[in-house]
Amino acid sequence: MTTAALRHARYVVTENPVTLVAFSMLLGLLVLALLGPVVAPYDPLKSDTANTLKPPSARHWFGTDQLGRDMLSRVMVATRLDMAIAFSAVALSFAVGSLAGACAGVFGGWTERVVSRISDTIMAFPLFVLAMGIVAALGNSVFNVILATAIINLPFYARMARAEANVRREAGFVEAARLSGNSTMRVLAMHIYPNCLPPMMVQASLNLGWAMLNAAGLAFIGLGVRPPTPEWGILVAEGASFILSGEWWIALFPGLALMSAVFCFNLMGDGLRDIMDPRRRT
Amino acid sequence: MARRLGAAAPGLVGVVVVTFFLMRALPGDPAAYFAGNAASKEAIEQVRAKLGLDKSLPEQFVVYVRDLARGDLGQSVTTGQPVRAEMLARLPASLELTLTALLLAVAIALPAGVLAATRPGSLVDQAVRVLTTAGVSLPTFFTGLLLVYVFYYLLGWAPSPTGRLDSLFPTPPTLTGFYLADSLLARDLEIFRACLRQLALPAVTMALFVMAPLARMTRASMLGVLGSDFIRTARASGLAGGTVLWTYAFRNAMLPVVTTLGMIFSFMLGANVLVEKVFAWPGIGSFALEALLASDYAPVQGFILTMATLYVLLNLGIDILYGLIDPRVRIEA
Amino acid sequence: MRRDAGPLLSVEDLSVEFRTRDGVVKALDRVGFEIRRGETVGVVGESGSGKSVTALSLMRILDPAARITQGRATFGGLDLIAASERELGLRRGRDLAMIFQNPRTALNPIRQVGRQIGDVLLRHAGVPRARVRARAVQLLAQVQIPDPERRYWAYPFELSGGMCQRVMIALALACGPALLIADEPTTGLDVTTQAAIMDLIDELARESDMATMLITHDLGLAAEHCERIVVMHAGHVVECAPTAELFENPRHPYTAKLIAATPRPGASLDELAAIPGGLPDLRGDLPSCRYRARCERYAPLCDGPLPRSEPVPGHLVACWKPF
Repeated sequence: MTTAALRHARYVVTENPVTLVAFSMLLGLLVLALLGPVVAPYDPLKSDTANTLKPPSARHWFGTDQLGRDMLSRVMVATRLDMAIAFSAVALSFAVGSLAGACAGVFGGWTERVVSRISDTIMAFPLFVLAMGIVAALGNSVFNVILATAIINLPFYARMARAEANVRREAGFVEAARLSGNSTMRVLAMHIYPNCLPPMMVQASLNLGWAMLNAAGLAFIGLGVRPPTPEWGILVAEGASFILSGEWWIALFPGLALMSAVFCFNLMGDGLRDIMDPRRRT
Repeated sequence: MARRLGAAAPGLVGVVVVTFFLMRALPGDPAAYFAGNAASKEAIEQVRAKLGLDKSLPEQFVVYVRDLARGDLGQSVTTGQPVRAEMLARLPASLELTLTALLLAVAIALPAGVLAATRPGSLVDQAVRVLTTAGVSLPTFFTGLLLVYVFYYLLGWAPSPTGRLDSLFPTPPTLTGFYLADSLLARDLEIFRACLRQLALPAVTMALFVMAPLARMTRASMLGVLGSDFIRTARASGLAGGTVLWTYAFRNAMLPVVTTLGMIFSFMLGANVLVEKVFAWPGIGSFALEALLASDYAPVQGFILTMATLYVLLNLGIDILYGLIDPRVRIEA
Repeated sequence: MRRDAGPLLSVEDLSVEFRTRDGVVKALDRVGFEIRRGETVGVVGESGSGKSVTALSLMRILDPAARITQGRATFGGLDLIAASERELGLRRGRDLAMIFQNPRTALNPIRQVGRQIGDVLLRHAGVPRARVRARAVQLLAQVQIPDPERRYWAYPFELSGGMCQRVMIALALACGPALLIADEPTTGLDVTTQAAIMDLIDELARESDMATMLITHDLGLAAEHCERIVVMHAGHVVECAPTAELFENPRHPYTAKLIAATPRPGASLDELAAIPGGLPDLRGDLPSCRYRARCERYAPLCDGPLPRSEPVPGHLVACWKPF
């Protein structure tokens, strides 16, 4: 990025205190994801039958669950899994979707038809329902949750990339490059594809929040992550049965953590959009 | 109109095909499951033949499509009942929930968005912006639980989240399957109130989820429209404030909002499953969920097909609605 | 043509500011001029000279970021600037109307044009509901739209640019206003349509003794259709005179340059002289004469407060060193 772009980026991040807060939160989450198990005060999997269902206290800031496990540790360690799922799903979606879309936009013809058909078929389903079906079909594992989340997000990236590539194809990029002796593939790889990326970055960061909600939702209904692995969705599910008897802390803290992470991604997405395209500020 | 129905056809075809492949990709051997734990190999093979699972894939597909055309969605292993009957019995519950939530969301989000757009920079505007940004980050299942905790456990205002109607009350005579409508039609206000109380929290949970994108879109759209040339002309012509706002601005602003409804419906149909789980709501979502966890796949297939078909039809409805508002789409110039 | 004692519109000391992220822009500074009953006055100047802002201020439909800091605009006994929104709402569209450039985007895209005219009639003209449609069709015929009965139901996107502008004129004239403000009504239209639209406006104005304020950057157009011309530069009125007088004896250096830069039959491209420099930045502290930076005749005496002189009756100049 040029210095002007960096300066503008710094201006946007610092001008709006909210964006700054979101940025700091993101850093915090990343740190937790990397160092979770190290900084957690207790072993998240270790049960302590003498201390079950204790409300938050000085010893256990987030209380303990029905097996006496420390909630704070469980929530902290879950960060890693949730972040990993969200990032991998979006990365996969982004990579495959943008490439497919760019090819469709540049080559047109059959490529475009196939990509469009696949996109439209995915979008004909309510997305969470499709994710459920995919995880049910392929098996109850973390990888399949990532795959399912990636698949349902493909159409967004494919469409954006195709539109961007189309604009550039219409604008004559391809003709011009070929006239100077480059093959279409080369033009695609070196010129068109890199230029499609910036607007999709915005989409990606907004997507991260949604991918996380998706994965947590799947975990909540019992798909993907299995206990005792700590993951925010599962932790909320475990706490759900105790809400009715008043033990609120088991479900609350993981839920809040999930909310904050998603909120942070959304704010980041808005901030990025302001950097990329100030005209579309709301 | 015919053209639009035609455009929806490929979607339906895609749905049917994909669901077929999804369900055939399921892990485990349904025949073995059907036959039971202690079955011998011959018994499993017999079951397999009976289920038609020994045929080739294309043959199975033909059978599948033929059954679908007849409305046969297969049989649930756990209940032994045809899936179709179960679906039809439970569909009204899900629809009542979803429709109520949608109405609630629209009733709050649209005015909020308009208000925020007509008073830019004010307290209302700031509040709407913050709440909608927070709102899109809410996990549905979590808000549901929070609401249950606050309104049931702490405040005791809401009834316990155990379904559509307290077991004390008899269900109203079935005319539409919508308890609210049925109890009103039967003129039984007591049952109506009881149903309403049970419906309140789940509907609010789902409504909260979609209020945020709706309000956001309404606000952004109104802001854009209010700054446009034709609004300036309308004001220059001295038209009354109300006319300018509603007849001129609002109708135009609704166009992108209607388009957003497509995404909203996608979310809602998915969130159905989550909300039904939290509130033990006897709709098709919880039905499918129970089946899924019990490896009973016919209901899951039926559920996916139903939801997807519903979604395709809803999108068709949105297209028609859009065409009603925007003549540019309707009239081939 | 009647010339009543006292002008129809009298603008005095109108000043407007815009609050922007980069500071306060002083878009208008003590703008003043008069328009008499039935007169056609042209307001000319470069883009950004404040012509449109003046018109929008009179109608009080400025952007929310704008503020009218001072001034009076007396119209039929009412001060438009000081009037309440309610008082003004009665006048707008009825006694005082405006048409804009880009007619297609200036009309509601999803409402039939006839009904849009009907909305104005219902609001101001006291026409009974049953007769609104007939009256609207009459108005469409008056602006020479062919097949007005059918065109009543047309949407803007189904009409050409020229027809949309005619619809806008019908909209503006629906209640027989005393003053029509036309903000670049022909920009964006092809030349033949331009001529037709201007002729239509002239004819309708003549028929109903309506005054017209024609805002344009095209001095040639103003010369053809206006009795008097007001020249604006960077938010100031710099000269104001009857058309013929203005072209024969321009007194302000800017006016002279404008005339020299205007294409006219017989003049070759070489003879057209561009005006050096550009509009000054309207933020921050500004000199009293905003043409100073571009003026060849600048002398230290020009730093004093801007004068308003009338070297010949009816011909006003704001310059220390007029020709």
